[in-house]
Amino acid sequence: MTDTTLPAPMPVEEQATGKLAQSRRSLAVRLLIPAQVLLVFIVAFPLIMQIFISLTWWTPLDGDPWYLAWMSWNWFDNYTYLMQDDGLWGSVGRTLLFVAVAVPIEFFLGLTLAALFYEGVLGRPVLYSLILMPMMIVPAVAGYIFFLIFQQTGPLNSALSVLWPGMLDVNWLNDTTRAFVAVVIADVWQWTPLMFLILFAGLMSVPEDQMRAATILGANWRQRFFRIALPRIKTVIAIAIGLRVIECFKIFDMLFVMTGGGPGVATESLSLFLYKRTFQDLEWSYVASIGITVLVALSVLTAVLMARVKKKDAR
Amino acid sequence: MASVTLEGTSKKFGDFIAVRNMNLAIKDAEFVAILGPSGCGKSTTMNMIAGIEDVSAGTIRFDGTDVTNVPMKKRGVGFVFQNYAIFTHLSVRKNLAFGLEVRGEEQAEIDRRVGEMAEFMELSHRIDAPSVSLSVNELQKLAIGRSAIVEPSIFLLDEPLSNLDSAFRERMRSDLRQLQRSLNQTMIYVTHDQIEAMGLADRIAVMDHATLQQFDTPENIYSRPENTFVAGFIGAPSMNLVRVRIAERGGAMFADLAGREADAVALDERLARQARASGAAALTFGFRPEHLRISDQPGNGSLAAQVVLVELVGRRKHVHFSTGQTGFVGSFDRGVSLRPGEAAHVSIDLRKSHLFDPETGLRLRLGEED
Repeated sequence: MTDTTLPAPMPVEEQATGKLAQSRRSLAVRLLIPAQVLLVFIVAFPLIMQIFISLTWWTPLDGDPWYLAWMSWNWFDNYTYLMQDDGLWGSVGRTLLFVAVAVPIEFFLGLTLAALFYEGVLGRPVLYSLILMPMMIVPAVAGYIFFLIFQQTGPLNSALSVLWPGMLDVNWLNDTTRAFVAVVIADVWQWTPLMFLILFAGLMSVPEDQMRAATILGANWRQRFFRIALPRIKTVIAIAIGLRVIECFKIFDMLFVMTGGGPGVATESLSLFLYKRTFQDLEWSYVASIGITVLVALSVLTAVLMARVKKKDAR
Repeated sequence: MASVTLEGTSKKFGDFIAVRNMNLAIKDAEFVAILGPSGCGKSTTMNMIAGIEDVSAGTIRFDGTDVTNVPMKKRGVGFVFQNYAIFTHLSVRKNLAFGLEVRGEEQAEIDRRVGEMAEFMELSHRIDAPSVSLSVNELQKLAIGRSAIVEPSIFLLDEPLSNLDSAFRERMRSDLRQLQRSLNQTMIYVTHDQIEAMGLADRIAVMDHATLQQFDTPENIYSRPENTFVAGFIGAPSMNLVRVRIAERGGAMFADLAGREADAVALDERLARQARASGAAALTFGFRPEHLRISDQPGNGSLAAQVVLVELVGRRKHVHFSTGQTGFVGSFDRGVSLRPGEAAHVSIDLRKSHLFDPETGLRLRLGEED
């Protein structure tokens, strides 16, 4: 940055007078001001505004503009409240459980598919586009599809009633456990393809010579896969799982359409919880305090992780 | 240990013929080089022997047993890839142990044999190092050791020295030869470098355009090339191949260079008989640059030629001559004093020269002794 914005090194006599150098530097500073102001406005202003609001009882229902929020100043009441809010922590717990269940299933299914494709299954080109299709469907639409599938008189029950006649009456989305299972199934259906795509690309990058060398040394399919291919795509696996964990943690649209977070709060994710607090209850100052808390928590987590990575690199 | 036999082996990729009707009988514990220019089918031949490529036609036998349809992991060959294909995510020890581990050997046995092989390959001091940290020569030793540890009956090496710089290649060449002696295994070695092939192999299979040109000892490949391709491919500088008109004058046979009577070479008895037997009016005359002598006086059967260019190559001087109509190259000790533009009288050692059929490229021969 400095190289491009500051003037080139000057001859000695000019540096000696110093006057010209100073005027050039002040010109550079002046030229930079608009960009700096914009940056402050984009980054700092919303942050400060959030912190400000989160320290009040303010809600748009008061009829006062946000800058008058100081009138209902409450210091840290929102923060103490959120620490004890079962609704919030319940949604966090459910979201974590959802991530912990859905992502591993997606990983193992994706890895199995990738392994099958890598060894070459019949009809690969057709299967390939078929497998990738769910990923291309808008999550809300996918949610709607599964909403229909899991209805009491939906196609799933019709199919199951052929196998177990008694199952016909089950309403999937009305039962807390079953609704959770249904949501996991929908997410697995939609996002296994992404897992597959990333892992398959990883497998394709394993040098063919090494696989051949392993074969010639007598390794069978399983040994080649677990001893050569898999260890070589560790980073790719980490990226795939990381991506899915982040995405899954933010899940909103599919749940919103399929269950609306219900029955009760059985499938209410953190995003859905925040949505309801913001647009149904209009508790904006409370939501602001949650936002700040999440920001601080994530910053700490990232700093810790970065420090570990740096330590590992140093070794 | 095993012999390798290829009987009418061919490989086609679609319409492209990579290897055509290959017949090759490699003896037990023999060191054979498959030599040829890029794209001649030498690597494909090797891959077929290893089982990496299927065979389109013909048979491959190991020790007389047909292995044409045996999958590569059951053929029991060792294969050293051009880029070594080291498992870079594993340590040296794990690389060496790989072949034994996948065979389910006892851990104690694995440890013992890995230790022995590391000792033999002089890798003991790096045994627990990550394999990515190895130098090129260590990588090569590791690649060979990793294959040798499962005691394959046949060892295949795909241009293993081509990644090395020339000084180092020299050393690895002798190491490789010693290794083959101590392992006492059949080794097949693919290369495009004739110096490597000449220096290492018991016998050389020269290939060009998907076809085996000659399979013989390095000495015979050099001194008795089967055809003009082998003659031109082997040797640096390569054999001079000059079009000549065969004429009989006064009871003697002459080869007129480029059809000029003034540049006639009187043929000796052997070449004269060959020329007569062929009955052809035009032939290709082949003589090696090393087999020329020069004098400043015209001598018996010498050619008058002009020096065009003198190259100094190591201890040798390569001299390009012109007779006006045709040119050829001579290779002399660097002590010889010749300058471009000078006239010289050149005589050819006919006992070491050959005549080739210009149509088929085959060397003329009368009996087995030729």
